Amino acid sequence: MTSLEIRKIDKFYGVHQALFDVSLSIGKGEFVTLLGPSGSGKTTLLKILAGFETVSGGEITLDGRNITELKPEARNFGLVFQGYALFPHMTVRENIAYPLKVRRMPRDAVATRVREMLDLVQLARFIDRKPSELSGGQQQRVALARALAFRPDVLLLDEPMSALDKKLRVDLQEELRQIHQTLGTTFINVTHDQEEAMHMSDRIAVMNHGRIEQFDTAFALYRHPGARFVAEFIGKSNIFPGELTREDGGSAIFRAEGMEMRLDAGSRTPGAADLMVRPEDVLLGTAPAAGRVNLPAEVLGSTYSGDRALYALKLASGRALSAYGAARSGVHPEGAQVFASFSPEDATLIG
Amino acid sequence: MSKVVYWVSLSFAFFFLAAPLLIVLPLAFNDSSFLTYPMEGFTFRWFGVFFDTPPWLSSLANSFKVALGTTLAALLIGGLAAMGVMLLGRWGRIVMSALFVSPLVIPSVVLGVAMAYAFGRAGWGGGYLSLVFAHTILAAPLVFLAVTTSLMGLDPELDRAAASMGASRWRRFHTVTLPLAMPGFATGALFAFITSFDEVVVALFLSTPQTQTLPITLFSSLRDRLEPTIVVVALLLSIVSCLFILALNRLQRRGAGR
Amino acid sequence: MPKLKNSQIAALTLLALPVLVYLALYLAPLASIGRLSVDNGALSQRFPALSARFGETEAPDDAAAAALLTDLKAMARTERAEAGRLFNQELGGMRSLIIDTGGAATQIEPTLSALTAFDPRWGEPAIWEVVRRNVEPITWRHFQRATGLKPSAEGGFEMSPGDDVYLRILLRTFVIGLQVTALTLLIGYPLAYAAATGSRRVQAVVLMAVLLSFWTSLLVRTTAWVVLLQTNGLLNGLLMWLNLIPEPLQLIFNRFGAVVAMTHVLLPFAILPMINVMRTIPAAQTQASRSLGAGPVESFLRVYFPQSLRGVAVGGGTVFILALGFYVTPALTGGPGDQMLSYYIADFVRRGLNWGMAAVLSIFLLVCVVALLVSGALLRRAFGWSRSSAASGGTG
Repeated sequence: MTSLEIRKIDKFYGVHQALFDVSLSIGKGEFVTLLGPSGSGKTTLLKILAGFETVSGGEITLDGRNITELKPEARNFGLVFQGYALFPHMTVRENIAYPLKVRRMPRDAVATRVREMLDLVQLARFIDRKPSELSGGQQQRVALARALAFRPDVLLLDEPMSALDKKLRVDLQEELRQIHQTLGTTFINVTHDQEEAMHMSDRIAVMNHGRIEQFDTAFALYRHPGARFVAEFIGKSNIFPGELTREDGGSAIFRAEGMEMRLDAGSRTPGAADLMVRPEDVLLGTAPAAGRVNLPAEVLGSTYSGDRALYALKLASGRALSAYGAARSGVHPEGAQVFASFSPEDATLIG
Repeated sequence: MSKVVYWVSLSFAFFFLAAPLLIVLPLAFNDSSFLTYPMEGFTFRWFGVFFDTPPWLSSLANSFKVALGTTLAALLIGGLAAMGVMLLGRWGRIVMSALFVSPLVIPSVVLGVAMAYAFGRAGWGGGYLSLVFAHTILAAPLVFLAVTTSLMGLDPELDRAAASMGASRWRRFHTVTLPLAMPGFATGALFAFITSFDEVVVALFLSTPQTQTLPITLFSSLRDRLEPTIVVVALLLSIVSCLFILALNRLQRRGAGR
Repeated sequence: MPKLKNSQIAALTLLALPVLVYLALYLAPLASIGRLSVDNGALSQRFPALSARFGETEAPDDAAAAALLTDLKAMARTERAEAGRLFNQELGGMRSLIIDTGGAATQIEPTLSALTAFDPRWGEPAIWEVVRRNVEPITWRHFQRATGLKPSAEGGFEMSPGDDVYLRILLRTFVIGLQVTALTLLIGYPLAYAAATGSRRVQAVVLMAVLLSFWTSLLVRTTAWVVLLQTNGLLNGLLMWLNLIPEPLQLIFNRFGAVVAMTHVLLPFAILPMINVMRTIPAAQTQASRSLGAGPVESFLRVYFPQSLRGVAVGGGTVFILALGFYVTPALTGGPGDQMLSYYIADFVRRGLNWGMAAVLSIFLLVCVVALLVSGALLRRAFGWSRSSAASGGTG
């Protein structure tokens, strides 16, 4: 099932280490995103996959074949560049035909494939334009068509949307997702935009400081972050440092300042632990709610965005808490005393 | 007050820069053998003198021959040098660039003496070959600079893109790098042609009466006596320069257009 | 890394031909100038016996006379003429002495007294001294003549009055270079300022004029000045028509003509670097200075001008270095007292066929240019002006 296997990759630039023991197993036809802040090593990893950077240690295999030392031109990986990298002296047709001519494909087969690719990205009428005559979004789609024209084993996308405006980005995400489903090629996308990652990907590898923090589906990353970095990087979160203890019956109890609750902790060992609650799981009320963990809080302020309001709250312990509240009948005023409550089922232990 | 000073000095400077040629060149059509105003009538007869009196026409032909040969040789030498230097490391690049550009700062008379002596000893003296050799050394630095500039302006991602699509190093070079550096080569070729076409000093040391170029003929007749034909030659040479600037302008506009 | 090796091989392949061509057509000829400046092969090879004799003892005796006659007899007539010509460069009258003695060499007995009897000049030690110095394979006579410094009898060097003629020419070359540099900067500054800060139309017009001038043949522009400045020329005509002068002024074939024409020819080389630098000075800075209460003149002098000095330095340096090597323009517009070093270099080759002197003076010029370039580079580093902004290229 696994087609692309990345094993224990290290990368040094002089004494600086950019990647630490990176391993990923990517299935055939999967859409994987490398997500992380700048400097997290995601672009370095992509360049290693494309063959433009060498590894300091570890190996990469494709269907069991070791490709670690293969030159870029021998890999048969498509690559969509951040700045598109369309050849300015060639028309759209010539750009897309380029990898096919390199592969000595017969002339009429080239013409057919170019048409096919342009239909795929819906740019057939621009076939004889020069790249400088196209808009940014159109150039991006030509770059995509070009990178897919030779049926690469893997398509690598290096922050493909970063130069586009938000509306266009959303359209293109949807289009990319559909193309992926049509072709069934393995896609590996690099981005720092978590929304883009969650919209498109089957699985997301969250990277930080040259390490993979967690590699999982968007749902798992959001609901069950494996690390504090993941919890904070993806979505908004409230994190309570506390302590986990176990009773004789095996059920676990989490204690933090001002709260105590029983929860399902799996096989986790007792000790210091962080508890995460998403702001949308916190309810605000004027009285304590039954069956939930209740925390008295003071409203510091709120940001109203129509469908809901995001509250900044201060707990009795002095800690900050954020919560989304329905705002149909007006918002809680600043300084109001409220009860913030959440269900233990919505709370997750991190790590 | 300061505005007046600025405009007066600007007008004087501009007049000094632009007026001499504008005043003198129309005298090529003056129907008088004296080079003075007011013009005594409009005539093309000095052009006739140019075409009928040796060695004007033959030296014009010589100039074209030498300039064309120089352009080809300088394109080859300067182009290869520019592409090779791009592949060197930092220090190699600095040292080799200094070598390839250095003929620009060597006084022409010194080059003339050195080449006249060395080429004479090597048995190349006198012919077109020695002129083309000498002008190639003067023109190759300009081709080198023009091509280097255009190669430095290339987006390195384009080469990577071609590699990711399976193109070998050589294929990437001749399908991506070379076509994109073409404006640099074209600019370099123009520089080389005009440099050779206008060159006086080195040619003075190397040319014989048979290979005498137009600037040399102009130089000797200027020392001899002033006649309207001289202004005709100056006008023709200026027209070549104007055509050159037009071509250069077109090239730059095309370069910026994409 | 194997990748690096590949690109090095590619670099070597590409650079092989250019480097070979530069070596053969450029570096080797330049190096031959160094050899030429001290080479005496033309004489030493024609006098093998005499050269060997002087290797043993320097005294002009019978053996020396015999060796001299042997060498002269071995030479063809044209060779003797050439040798005589070369000796004549050293001391007047040597040419006829060598040719006459050579012509009669078979009839003269190989003794010093017979030689002196044929021509009394062979009795003079000074003649023999000249002969001895000039049959050695290496000679410093060109350097001695160019600097005016000769080895004195007490050891060390001495300079006789009037022998500093080439040092004076070098000094004159520098003076003309400075005059031209000052004028180009003075005239070029307002043009560069207009091309960098003027309205769109002013910028376009000025820049076009500068570029046209830059790419118009140097010879054409010099021609224009020859036509303008001659005694019956346009400028004199205009001045007389305006009743400013009663009779034509001598405007050409003197320092005025040479400096004016050179200034015009070199003007673009001063302006282009200045434009490059001035374009990097934001207009907002002068506006800021005005808003802070400084008048236009004060704003210019205290804010704009200091920042533009980098361009002035680069432009001035370029003009000065190019001016030092000028030949064509001063040759056509200057008088005998306004010729620069290049003129004498060309003159030695074209008229005297004295390659040795031409080579020595070329070395002078090269050393000056290289020294200026190096000090310019050091100055630039010292001031932190590492961003290059010079446009250069052109011919003297």
